[in-house]
Amino acid sequence: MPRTYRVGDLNGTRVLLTGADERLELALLERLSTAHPGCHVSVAEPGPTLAGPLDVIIHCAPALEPPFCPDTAFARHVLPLPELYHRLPAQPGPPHLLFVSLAAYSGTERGTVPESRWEHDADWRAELALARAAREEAERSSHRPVPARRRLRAARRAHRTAGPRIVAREAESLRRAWVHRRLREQGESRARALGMSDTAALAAALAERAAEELWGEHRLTILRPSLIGPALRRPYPGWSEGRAMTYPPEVASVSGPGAVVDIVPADLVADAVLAAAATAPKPGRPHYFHFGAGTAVPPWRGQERDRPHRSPGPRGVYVPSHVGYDDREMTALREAAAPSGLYDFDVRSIDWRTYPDAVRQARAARRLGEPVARKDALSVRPGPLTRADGASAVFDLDGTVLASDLVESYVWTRLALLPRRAWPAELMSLARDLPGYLMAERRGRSDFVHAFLRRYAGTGEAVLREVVLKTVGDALLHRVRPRAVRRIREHRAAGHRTILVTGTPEPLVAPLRPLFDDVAASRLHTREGVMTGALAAPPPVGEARALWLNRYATDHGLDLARAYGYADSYSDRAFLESVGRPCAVDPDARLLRHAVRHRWPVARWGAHTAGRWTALAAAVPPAGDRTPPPAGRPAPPTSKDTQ
Amino acid sequence: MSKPGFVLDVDERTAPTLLFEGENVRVQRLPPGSRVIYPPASLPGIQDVDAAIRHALLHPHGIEPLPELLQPGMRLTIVFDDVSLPLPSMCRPDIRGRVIEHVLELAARRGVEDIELIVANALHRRMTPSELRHVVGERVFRAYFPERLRNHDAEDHDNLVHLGLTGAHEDVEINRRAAESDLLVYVNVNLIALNGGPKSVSVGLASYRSLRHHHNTHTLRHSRSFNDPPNSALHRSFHRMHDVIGGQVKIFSVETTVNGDSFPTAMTFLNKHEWQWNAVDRAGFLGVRHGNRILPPTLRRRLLNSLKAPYGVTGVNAGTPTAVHPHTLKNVHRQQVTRIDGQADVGVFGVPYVGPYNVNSIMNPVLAMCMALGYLFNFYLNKPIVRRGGVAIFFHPLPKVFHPVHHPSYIDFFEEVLSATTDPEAMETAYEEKFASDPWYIHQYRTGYAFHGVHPFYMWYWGAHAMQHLGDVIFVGADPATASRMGFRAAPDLAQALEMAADTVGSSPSITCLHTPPITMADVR
Repeated sequence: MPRTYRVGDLNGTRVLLTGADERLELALLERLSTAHPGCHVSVAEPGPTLAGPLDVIIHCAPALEPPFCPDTAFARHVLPLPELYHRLPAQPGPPHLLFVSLAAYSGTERGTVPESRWEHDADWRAELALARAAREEAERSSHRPVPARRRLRAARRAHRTAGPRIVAREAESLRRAWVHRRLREQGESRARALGMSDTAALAAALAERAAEELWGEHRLTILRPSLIGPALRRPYPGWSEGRAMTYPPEVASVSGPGAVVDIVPADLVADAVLAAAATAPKPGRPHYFHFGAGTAVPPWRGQERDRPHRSPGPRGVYVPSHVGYDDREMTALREAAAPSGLYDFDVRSIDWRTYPDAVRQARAARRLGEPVARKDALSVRPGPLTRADGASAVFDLDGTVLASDLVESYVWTRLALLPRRAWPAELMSLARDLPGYLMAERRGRSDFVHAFLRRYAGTGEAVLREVVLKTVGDALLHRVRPRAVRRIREHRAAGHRTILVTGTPEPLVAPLRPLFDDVAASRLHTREGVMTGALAAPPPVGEARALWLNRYATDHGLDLARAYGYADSYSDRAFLESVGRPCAVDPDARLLRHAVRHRWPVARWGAHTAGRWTALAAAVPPAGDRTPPPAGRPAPPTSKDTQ
Repeated sequence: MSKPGFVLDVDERTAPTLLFEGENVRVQRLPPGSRVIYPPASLPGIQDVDAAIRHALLHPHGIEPLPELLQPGMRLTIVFDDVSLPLPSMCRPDIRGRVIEHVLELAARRGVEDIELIVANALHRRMTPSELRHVVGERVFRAYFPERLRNHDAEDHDNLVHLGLTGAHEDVEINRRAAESDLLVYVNVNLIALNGGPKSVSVGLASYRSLRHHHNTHTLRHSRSFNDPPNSALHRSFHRMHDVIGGQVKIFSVETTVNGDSFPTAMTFLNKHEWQWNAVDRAGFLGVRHGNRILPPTLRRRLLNSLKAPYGVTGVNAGTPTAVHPHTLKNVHRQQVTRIDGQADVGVFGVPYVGPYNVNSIMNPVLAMCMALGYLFNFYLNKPIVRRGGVAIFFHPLPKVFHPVHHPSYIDFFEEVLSATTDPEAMETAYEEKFASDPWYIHQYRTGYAFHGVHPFYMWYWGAHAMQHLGDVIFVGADPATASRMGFRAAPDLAQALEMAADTVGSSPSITCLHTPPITMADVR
């Protein structure tokens, strides 16, 4: 026999909402400000005590995104209630708590679920402690050596080129994912052991139990809505801001024939909540309401196969012939609220033909207001530049500004310096050593640079500089990317400091020097003007590049948050992460994945760049000019020296 | 007496016409009723070139013979045209090298020691050592390079001197060494009527500050054509500047002209009329056409750039620039001019693979446009070949390829400027200054082998008169995107092009085709 309700007037009452993120909370704010202007509404501020005095507190359980671990689920669902209790302002009697719970409409029950206290044996305090203990235990066992080593190996395989620090970071994220998975599984099995469908259902049930325990002697209303969908009429048909769980109707077909997706419009739920808030229960005798569309919802018939209903399914999806959610108390409340004309929450008034259309139209209108998605919506383009003091632009050379790499530039110098008859021997020696270099590259970019630059042993530094002035410089200019040069000049024009960082030896970078304010390249050690093949300082590649940049920024007072970074390989990930505006240029596969995931701009600068063979042909001096200067002797000043 | 130029009326039995199509050649059947302008037959070259040079140096026009101008202790500067002339490059020995050797010999005999050689490249790219060696010859190169044989640097402000303003307030600023010399000997190759005379020193050794006074849209639009100096605003400006220079610098100009032997004897089919081709010529043509398609672009360009023209020299004249130039122009006209009566609705032109600005390089779309709307369109005296509002059809594939070392500013011009505007006046106001003063382009021009940053704009202005005059421009065989970026239309073949032209000139237009090579100028009455 349903109770009799007397729905009061909210005029003059002081209502507190504990949050304003959920769709229901926003709908409540809308209803309170338009239909109940005499009501004093406030939203809870952080702090030890709530601003009082208060008459009604409305607390909506947060919509959780699966999958979730039990301790985080409980912390978000259950813990706010005791916290709320302890933050109550000092006033004669505690306010009426209206708790909007997500406990019902999961579809796993059978029969008719009554509008009363949820029957289960779980103790919310015990379950909270259990969940915390489970997390500690999972964290501890995640540090065991054997699985930790396995994760480190996997991280190294995938991220080795980015440097050891990033490998460690990725291994740690793998460990956290393992912990998360383990806790999730434990939570699910614990929930099922207690007779709930999943962790979320358990959390919802525990939250209700906590509310009943804390407010048991005081005024308590628990309202259990089904899925909160877009608004029916107010503020406009199809309004759907705020967080809420909803699914497309196709979900019902997955669950089995005859299943429904029970969605109630947010404005109706808000009115139901306010009507319940205006009906103060007696202390110690809480009110319970179920609010769903129930049998009014037309079933979306899926495939008419005789497939058993799969449980646990998503919340809000159930087969009405298997389970029903009693709503007699809700109906009684509605009839009691009808005379005042302020509360409109009759689900029978929903026209199920026009409501989905209105939702679709509102969604389309919203999409039209958004900027049109460009052709490759996956990647962002680098944007225009603005003048900014202290801003800088840091460029990688190989693969970014130049289409060539260390090996190619080395081949140019060899072809330019050696007579033709020595070429086959040199190229054979390069081919022989190639596997060794590939292995070094796998170990790390810095290892590769060290190993490869050893080939420069025995070359005179002045000889190298001279040959760069002539043919090798031409070959290099052939392989310069015009789009990159344009970007560098744009930075210059905007007053930014332009910096080049590369593992290429310093003499080979000379033709591009005028474009940059500073150049950091590999410095080869020389003895009496002849290079020994060793490096005078660690080359600024891989992780060392990020460290170099940090030191440079400190020395020159640059703000890295406003710095632009351009690089093309995954080994530059640490460098790109250290600048405020990274940009991946023609990135390799791993860097592209990383860039898209983090919404970094991706640039393609390959247009109008000459090919490898054209550059190689340019590096070879024409037959008539072949006068290889002797090694070690400084070159005579040429007419091109316009210094 | 060699055969004069003539106009061929095409009918159903006429052999297809040979046309250049960028780096390839094709034969194209023109609709009956079309007219094809053929140049005069190639004039015979002078047998004893050395004697002719000696004669010219000893009997100049308007100035004393050269030996009398040379004194011991004087500063002598020899300036010569850069690699942009002639086209194609001349076989060794280049005529300029021969003249220079004679001059140096005379100078040595008279005891002149302070001698320098400068290339008059203005804002063109510097010449490479091998190109210098090709032009001046091995002996001169070894004796003078690199300290006393160098390129003009238009951005070396310490070595430029401002000589004053002309009557029209145009700055005259030239190379310091040239301006401060006691005698300036200029050696040129007067390939077309645009070159030579007052242009040589006032443009070849000038700076941007000087050049912008005549290399602009307004001047080019009022040069109708720039191959017809009396009707050219460009040449009037050159004369004004020359008056300022001539007053301060003594110039002894040696002007040479060449005949129409532009291609080696191995490619006779290019030098013969189409109806005179025998089996060998036909085979040669097919070999070139198909070989071109098979070869990779780099190899193809290398082969084309290695083609040298076995020019015969048709005249060597010396004197002051204004006095000697009419004699030179007479030789040029003798070799190139053909008279034709009446303009046409449609002009058909084949664009060759080499122009002044892509010797040993690549013809990018901007250069192709300059070759087409600049040079080919302006090969006329009196009136353009095409009537006002008519259509010009050019054969060129317009490949979107740029030489990154020679033409870096062209890439940015194509991507940034042309995507914003194709109007020469608009780009002159909005973008020219930025490109002209960009430090990176200036660095590339001074230390690399790049054309000056402002050069692509000059290419565009070269076609400003044509753009104003014509109703439509269609490129046959071109990439449509590239053509439309430049403001033109593209058609896959001549029939389609004529259909597209029907919008402008109707469905039975009169067609005139200018048969180049060799270079032909139409005297349109």
